[in-house]
Amino acid sequence: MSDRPLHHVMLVDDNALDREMLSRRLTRRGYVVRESGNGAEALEQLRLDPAHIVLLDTSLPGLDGFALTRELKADSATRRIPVVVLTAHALVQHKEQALAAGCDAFETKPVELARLLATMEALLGAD
Amino acid sequence: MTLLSQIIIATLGAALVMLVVNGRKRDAALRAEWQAEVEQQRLALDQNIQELAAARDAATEARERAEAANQSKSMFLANMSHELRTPLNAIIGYSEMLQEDVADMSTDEITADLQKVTGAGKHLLTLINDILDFSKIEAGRMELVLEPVDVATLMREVEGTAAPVVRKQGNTFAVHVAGDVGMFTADAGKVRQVLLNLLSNAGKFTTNGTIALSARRLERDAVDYIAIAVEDTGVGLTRAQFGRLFQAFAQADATTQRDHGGTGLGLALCRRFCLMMGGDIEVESKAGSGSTFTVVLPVAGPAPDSSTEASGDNVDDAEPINFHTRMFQIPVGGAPE
Repeated sequence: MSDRPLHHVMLVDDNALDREMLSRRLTRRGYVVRESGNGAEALEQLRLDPAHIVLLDTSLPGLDGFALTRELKADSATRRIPVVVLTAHALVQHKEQALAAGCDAFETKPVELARLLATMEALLGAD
Repeated sequence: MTLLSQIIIATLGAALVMLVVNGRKRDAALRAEWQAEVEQQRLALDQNIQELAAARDAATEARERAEAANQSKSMFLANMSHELRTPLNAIIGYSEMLQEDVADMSTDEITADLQKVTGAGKHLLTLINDILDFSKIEAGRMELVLEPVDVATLMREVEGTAAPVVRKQGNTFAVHVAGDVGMFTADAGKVRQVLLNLLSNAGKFTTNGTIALSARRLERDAVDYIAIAVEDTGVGLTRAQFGRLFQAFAQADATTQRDHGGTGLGLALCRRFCLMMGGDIEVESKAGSGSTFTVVLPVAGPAPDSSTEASGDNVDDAEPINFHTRMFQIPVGGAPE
């Protein structure tokens, strides 16, 4: 991990418990994690200071995860940031909706950490 | 002209007039009768039409109600899945974190206890996934992702994942892959799910025995199949249990749920997946001396004209034992899910 550049993660989730848990687990694995519980706020922060990757819940106050993804992908300044949607909505329709909004990966909650880490590394490596 | 002839003519004339008048009266009476008849028929027809329209409206309304009920059932399942996943995310996540913490401090007992919490959380998650998968199949929305699958690789993956569950109750796990099995076209994820389910059942119902996983090719009616068998030396099945084997929500008996857990959806789902891929599951069992569940799938995948989507049939209605399924023995015994 030490020879890898520090990756900044923006974690957007309105569930404080989920946010704290994932933030701590990612920090333990060498990521620098920023958190937000509001979609509109997260978008503002990302425009000011982009992260290397965004982890995103879909049901968010302010701006939901789909709208936030569309905003990020429509802006040339943030278009290249990989977006991973993390949601407890596990139906195929939700995945299709997320992919249609332009997200790069879709993971369901409960989070399978090993798989999420592999997805994140693949997206960061391709960046 | 004589007076007489004049009288005769006048009389005849009068008679004629009378005839004509009477005839007209009769015609009018008949016409009125017919009209009344026609009117009555028309009214009856109108009523029939109205009744038909009412019946049609009632049928439409019933269908709409049924569709709405189905829709709300799907919504309920989707919402319930979401609601259950949310606390599970914290339960599984935090207990995994605590295991990492505790592992550093080498306090074995706490680690073991936390593993139980994580295990229970993950088990709950598979139940939720089963219920969701089943409801998707029921609605006919489940799609297959067909790809070339290397049987030997698949078997190695399944062996790795299933080994801890299979060996749990002092069982030996034997895996054999015939040299010529090669590749086949299937949905690897679903085949894996089916085999893990069968192996997990075999592990549940066998103690200090042997569970064998084997793959080979076979040919039936000039069609090539891959046959993957899960054979155990466990409790076996009674005929009554056998009949309910592939029915949704049915378990061998009331004690099965208590002793072995499970939703009763596992085998119904497994069979559905295999049917979707153009194959089936065959069962041989002898109460008291074990069961063999064989997944038989066509090498070429499902026939191109057959839909890759599950039909809307309720699995409950599916014939539980098809022509491939054989049964050898009946006496009393245990109870696979």
